[in-house]
Amino acid sequence: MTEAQESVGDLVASEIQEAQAINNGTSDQRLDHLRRAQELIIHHDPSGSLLDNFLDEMLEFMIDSDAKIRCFVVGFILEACKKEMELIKKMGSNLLFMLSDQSQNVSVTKKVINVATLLYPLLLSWMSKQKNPDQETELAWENFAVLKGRVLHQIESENEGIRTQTFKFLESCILAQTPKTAQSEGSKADSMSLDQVPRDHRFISYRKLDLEAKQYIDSLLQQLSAAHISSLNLLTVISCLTNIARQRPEYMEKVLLAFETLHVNLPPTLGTSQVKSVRKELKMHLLRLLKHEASSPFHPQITTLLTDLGASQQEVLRALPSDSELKRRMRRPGESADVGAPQRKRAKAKEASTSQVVVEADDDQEDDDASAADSETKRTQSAIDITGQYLYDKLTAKNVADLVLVSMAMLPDEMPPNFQSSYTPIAAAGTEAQIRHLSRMMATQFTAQGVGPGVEQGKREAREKYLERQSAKMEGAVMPPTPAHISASSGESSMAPPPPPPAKPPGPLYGVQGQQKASKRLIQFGLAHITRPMQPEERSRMIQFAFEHIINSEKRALQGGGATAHQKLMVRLACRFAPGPLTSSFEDLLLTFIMADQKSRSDLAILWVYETYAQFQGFTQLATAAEEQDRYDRYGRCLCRLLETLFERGEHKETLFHKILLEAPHITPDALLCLKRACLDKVYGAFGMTTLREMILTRPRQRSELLCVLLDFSYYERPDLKTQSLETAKELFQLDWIRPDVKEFVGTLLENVLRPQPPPVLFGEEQGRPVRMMVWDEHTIRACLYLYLNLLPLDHSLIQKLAEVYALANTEVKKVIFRVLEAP
Amino acid sequence: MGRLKLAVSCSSNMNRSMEAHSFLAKKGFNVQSFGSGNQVKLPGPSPDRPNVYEFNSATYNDIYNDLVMKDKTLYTQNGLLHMLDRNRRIKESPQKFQTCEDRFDVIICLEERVYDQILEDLQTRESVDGQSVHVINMDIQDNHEEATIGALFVCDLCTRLEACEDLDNEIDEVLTDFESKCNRNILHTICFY
Repeated sequence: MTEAQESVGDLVASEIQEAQAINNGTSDQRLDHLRRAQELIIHHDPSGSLLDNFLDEMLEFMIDSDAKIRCFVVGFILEACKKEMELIKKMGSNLLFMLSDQSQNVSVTKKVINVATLLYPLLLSWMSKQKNPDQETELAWENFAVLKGRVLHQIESENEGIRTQTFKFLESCILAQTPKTAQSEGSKADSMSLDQVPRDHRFISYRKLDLEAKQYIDSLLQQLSAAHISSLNLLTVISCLTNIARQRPEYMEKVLLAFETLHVNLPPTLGTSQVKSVRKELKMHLLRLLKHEASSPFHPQITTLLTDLGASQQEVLRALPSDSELKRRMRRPGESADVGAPQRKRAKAKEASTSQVVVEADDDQEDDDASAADSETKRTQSAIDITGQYLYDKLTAKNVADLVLVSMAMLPDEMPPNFQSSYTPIAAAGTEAQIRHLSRMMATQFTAQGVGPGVEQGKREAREKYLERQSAKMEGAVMPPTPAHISASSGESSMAPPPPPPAKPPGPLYGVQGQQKASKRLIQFGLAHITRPMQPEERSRMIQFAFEHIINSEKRALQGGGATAHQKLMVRLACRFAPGPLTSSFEDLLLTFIMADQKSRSDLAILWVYETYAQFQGFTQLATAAEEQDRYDRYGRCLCRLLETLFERGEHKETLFHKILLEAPHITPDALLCLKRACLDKVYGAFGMTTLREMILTRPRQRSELLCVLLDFSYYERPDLKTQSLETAKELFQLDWIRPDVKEFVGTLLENVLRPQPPPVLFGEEQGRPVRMMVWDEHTIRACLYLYLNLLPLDHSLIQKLAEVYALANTEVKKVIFRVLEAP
Repeated sequence: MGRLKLAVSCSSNMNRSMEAHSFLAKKGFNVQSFGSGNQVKLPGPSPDRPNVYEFNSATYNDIYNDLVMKDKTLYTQNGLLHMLDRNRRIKESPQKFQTCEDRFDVIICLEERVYDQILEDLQTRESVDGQSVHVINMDIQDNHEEATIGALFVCDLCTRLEACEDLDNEIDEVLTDFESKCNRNILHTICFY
């Protein structure tokens, strides 16, 4: 540290000591010392090292018995944070502590709230700029959130001063948590607004801040209609709201509406002069608001309100911006003194058209203003307007006279102070403008009480919208809106019951007109209504398309890793529908698909076979329960189709054919026939045989059938078949578990010889003996014997059989047997 | 709780506010006085020929001498010189409220127009730190008798305000009582620095 710094440090130390030491000195003196110390630390030391050094000492005064000193410490915290924002990490908890000050001293609490008001925008700004906030920063943010919560709780405090400070805090929060727009009044260059918060901050949620801000504003607006608010706090709230309206013009409409309602609904607890103060203040704020550029759509409203508050023509004129249409019109001679004149034109234009009026380039300024005012009125088709219109129609001279007479009976004997101060003699009574104005004021009252056609309309619309949404949700036509969606598109009103509070217009924020709303509703209804049931052809066509599409998306499914699912899907779709035209087309499609690329789609084929089998067996329960026989048929059909198609395409040599046969759970007779045909094929019969052999070996249940097929080949004339069959038979004969079957077959075959005529089974195209013969001849006898002879060397017990047969055979047969036996 | 920082204001910082200032200062209050008009205006030989001076440049002494020079008899007769003499014993020159940077707890305005001007000023200022200030108005006619009576009332009001433990909380009540006692209309609001 340099010398200068050292000496400053010494000074600070001495000041603090003085402050600590004077225990029986006046608090003012101690405060002086502390102030000097603060001055030195904060303003005389650019490096901040003094702050670091003396922070803890200064914070010790937090628990001082004197409230002023404690207040001072709170102020010091603010100054320190302004100088060095990082310190908030340490001091957040201090603030919280001081808020719940032990002795409950009001001034300390107020000071804390005040400091929080100033600190919050700075804190938010600093935190949102942090690119990589650390744990401590996050903790500090949470601490501050707790502080915020506690402060906001004070809004219900009994102490008026605390409430005042809380309103200011609310204002600060709202301004910091709402985005700035182009029309925002340019306040300090470094003032915080929501658009400075990044959307992807680690622990600050943009959305949450936005929602909170909206809640705060509503809370503030509600204060205006509270019955027991004190005059001071009412004034505070009014000034806060005006400030917010200027800096965040999107809320201007809401604020103005609230002011209108307030004007006719002042809290009954106010005294005469308080009422006067409030009205004066309101007038002042409104005059200033006229100057704001964003208020120009509301000028007629504001000027009417001002006139009610007692503003003179001159004052209003002065306050209007120089290029205002309204001003020009008001200045023109010959107009009535009442500023509400545009309403007259408005009435005419209103009757003329019901849709949104485009401001035409008209020479006549009057019409310009009227239509501009007209479109403005249309835009805010609020409950108040509807009720106002309704009342306007009803306020005939007769009705008004009746009303006055009736209410005279209810008037008190003395004019209440409220009335006396706010009573301004009505100029131009009975003019159309005045009637309109009156009806609007009554409408405000009605709406505030929740009666009247406007409110009912609002309720109806809200209810209808809700029902629509529900029905649309049922139909799946509308996605339930996310909370963000709701708050973005329908700021103040929500679509769900209960209906929105009557003070606020029920329409969406972007001001859709009544008619547009109706057509919007129609659109939503339409969707639910125009869907009519599809025609069956259309339906099946669509289903077909869908299936084809699924089939064609195999590649994508593979890429996406959903190959299994894809296969399953296709197979199930093909299998599970009840037999019908649709199903067969599915099956055809699937078949074609499989055939197109056998190698890669063999799994699909197998899956299909298995699926049908599973259905047959009842492994998969189907909604369309078919008879067992039907299911079996289906399975068989499926299997056969595959095999036959393959065979017809000449692809039975391909693996798929054989794979199916080998892997199918059950071989139907038709399938067996297919196989047989395959075996008979001149070129590729060998494959068939091999498959057959495999099947015999692997399928115990169907072995006999398969054996029959195989061994049948043994008496065929074709040498290759015969040879193959015999070879295989020989092989199989050597397997113990097959031998008995083979033996039996052989025996049967031999006994055929004993029959008077050759059995028909020997004959046929396939066997090579096209013509059926009635008599045994050598060939036929030989045919029966081939197998036997083949097997004889392997098992000598067969000789016995032969001997038996020989004994019973006729001469011809005996001769053949001998001859055959001789040839080794 | 400590002395309130008071301010009283009329339009020229000559008659009513200085009378109140004098009373309050004698009673030991921490008080300053101001004018909120554009210029310091004193009655001249006729109503349409007032004496006009600029704030913060002409001292009471200067004005005194100026009036002496113009028409000593007239101004002695209507009491202006006496008033200026009293004024220059209290402070040096008229102060304009709008240019003053001090902060107060309570500002008392002595005419509705003054009230409007001061509010206008306070509300158009950039808000700095949100410290609150109460602005109260009590109408006093601009002549010597009324100024004196008015000053007494102001004094009474300030005594009551100082006696409050918690000003913000109790000021409403105090003002209502006071109103009914002196039978004058009081306007009251709160502004933020």
